[in-house]
Amino acid sequence: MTTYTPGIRTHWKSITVLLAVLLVWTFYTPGVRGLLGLIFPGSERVVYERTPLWNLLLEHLALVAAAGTVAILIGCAAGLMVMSPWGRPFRPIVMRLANLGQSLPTVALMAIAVPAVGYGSEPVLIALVIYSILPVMVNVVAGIESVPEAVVEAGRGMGMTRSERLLKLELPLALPVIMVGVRTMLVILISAATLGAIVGAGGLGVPIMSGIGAFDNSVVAYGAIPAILLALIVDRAL
Amino acid sequence: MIEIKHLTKTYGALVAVDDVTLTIPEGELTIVLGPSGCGKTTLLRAINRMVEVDSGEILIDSRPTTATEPEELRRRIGYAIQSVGLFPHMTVGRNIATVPRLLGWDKAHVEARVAELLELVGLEHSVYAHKRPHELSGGEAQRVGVARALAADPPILLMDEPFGALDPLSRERLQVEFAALHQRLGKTVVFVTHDIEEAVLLGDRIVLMREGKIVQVGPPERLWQSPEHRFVRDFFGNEFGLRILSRHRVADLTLGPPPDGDVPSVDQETNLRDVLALMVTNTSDSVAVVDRQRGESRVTGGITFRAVISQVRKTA
Repeated sequence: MTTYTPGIRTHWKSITVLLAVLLVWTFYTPGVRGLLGLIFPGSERVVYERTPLWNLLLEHLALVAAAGTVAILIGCAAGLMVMSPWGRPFRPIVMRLANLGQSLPTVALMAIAVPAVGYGSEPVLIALVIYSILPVMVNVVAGIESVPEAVVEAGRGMGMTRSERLLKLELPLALPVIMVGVRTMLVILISAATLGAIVGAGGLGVPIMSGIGAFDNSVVAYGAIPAILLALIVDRAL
Repeated sequence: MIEIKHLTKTYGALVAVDDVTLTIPEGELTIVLGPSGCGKTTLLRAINRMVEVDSGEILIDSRPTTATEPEELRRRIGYAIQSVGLFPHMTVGRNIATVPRLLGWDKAHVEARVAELLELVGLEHSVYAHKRPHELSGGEAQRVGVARALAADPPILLMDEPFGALDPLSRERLQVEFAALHQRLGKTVVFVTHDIEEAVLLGDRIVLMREGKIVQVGPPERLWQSPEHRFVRDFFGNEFGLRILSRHRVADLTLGPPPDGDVPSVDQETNLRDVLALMVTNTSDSVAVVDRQRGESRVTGGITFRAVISQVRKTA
C-alpha cells in the first residue's frame, strides 16, 4: 500500500523567530552596529551605509522572486513536456541541457550574459534562471514518475482525459516531490543572487562584495547574515 | 450485449489476440480464463479501448465502440483492476464519486450514490467515506474498487483479476459476495482471471483462451463434460469435477430421508464441495440437512454420496 503524506512542512515557531531576527537586523541598525562592533573590533566601517539594508533586502527578494517564478514556470513546462507522449523523445537532450545549465558556475553565466544584455539585473536574472531550472524540472519528472502506474491506469479506464489525469491525479500526487525541488531551488537562488552585486544588480550581495573589497569581515557579515536568515525561512516555510 | 468480431491485436511479433470472435450475452458473468500471456487482458482492455486493436471490431448493443470518443465510452463501462488503483490523495467517498463527477452529476446526487454504493459493498458509510485508501485493508480497498466501478451504474463491468492480490480468505469471501451482488444487479460482467477455482465458482460462462485464440466457450459444466479440445481437460485438471460441485448448494438437491446414526450436518446454503469434504473427513457416506431458521435447528432430510454425484451429472 502506498501511503500519501502531504509535502508541505510547516514549522511556524522557528519561522516566526527567524523572521523576527531578520526584521530586527534589517531595521535596527544601531543594534546591529553594536553587535558587529563587538564581534569584529578591528572593523572600520562595521556596517554598509551607502544604501539602507531594507532596500537591499527588497532588491534581493525581487531578484529571487523574479528568477524563481520564471524558473518554476520553465522547469514545470519542461518537466511536463518531457513526460508527455510527444515530448518523451526529447527527454535526454532536455535533461542534458538543464544539467549543463546547473554545472556552469553562476558567475561564468553572468560573465557571458553581461556582454549580451549589459550591466544591471538582466544578466543576473538570466544566469539565475538558467541555474535554477534543473532542480524544478528534475523533481517534476521524478514526481510524476512516482505516481503509481495503477492509479493512472485506473483513471484512464474510468474515462479521464489526458488533461484530467494530469490535473486530478498526476500533479496532486507529484506535488510533494515538486515542492522539494522548488525549495531546493529557492535556497540555492537566495545564495546565488548575492553574486548579482558583481554586475550591478544590487541585493544583499552589495555589502558582501564591498566588505570583501575592503577586507572588512564585519561588512560581509552585515549582508551575509540576512541572506542566511532568508534561506532558512524559505527552507522551513515550504 | 457485447459482440467481438475478428479481433486481432499484435505487439511487434507477438500476436496477443488472434482473430477472436465472441458474443457476450447481456446480464451474464462471463469469465475470460487462460494461462498468462494468452491474451485475456488484451481482449478485456480492447472492449473499453484501453487497447486499440489492429483489426476487427467490437459492438456494444449493436453500436461499434469506435463510434464514440474513448473517454465517453469508458465512462459508461465500469472498470476494476487487480491493483485497485484507488487514488491515494482522495477519500474513499471521492474515489467512488470519480465517474459521476466526470459526468457532471450534481452534488446531492453524487453523495447519495456514494452512500448507496458503500452500503452495497458492505462498508459503513460513516466509517469509510472519509478514510484514505492507505487506511484500508486489501479486502476493503477492493470493495471500494468495485463500488467505484459501479458508481455511474454502468450496464457493463470489466474486471481484470480484481481479487488477485487478496489473501485466500478475503478472496473467497469477496468472490461469494460478488456472485450475490451480480445476481442482484444483473450487470453484464466480463471478468478476467487465471484462477481456475474463481472461474468455475463465479462464471455463468467461461471463455477459455490460449495463445491469443479461444479454445472453448460455455458454462463450466459443459467445459467439464464435453471438452472440445485436449487443452480444456489439461488446463482444468483432475479437480474440475470437484470445483463444479462448489457451484451447487444443498438447496439445489432433492433431499432424501434423514439418515440414521451419528452423521455430520449441513444446511441448505452449504455448497456440495463442502458437503463432500465433510463426508470424507467423517468417513460417512451421508449427511443430515438441518434447517437453522429462527435460532433452532431441525433435521429436514439427508443427502447421500450418490445423490451428490448424480446432481453433478444432471447439471452437466
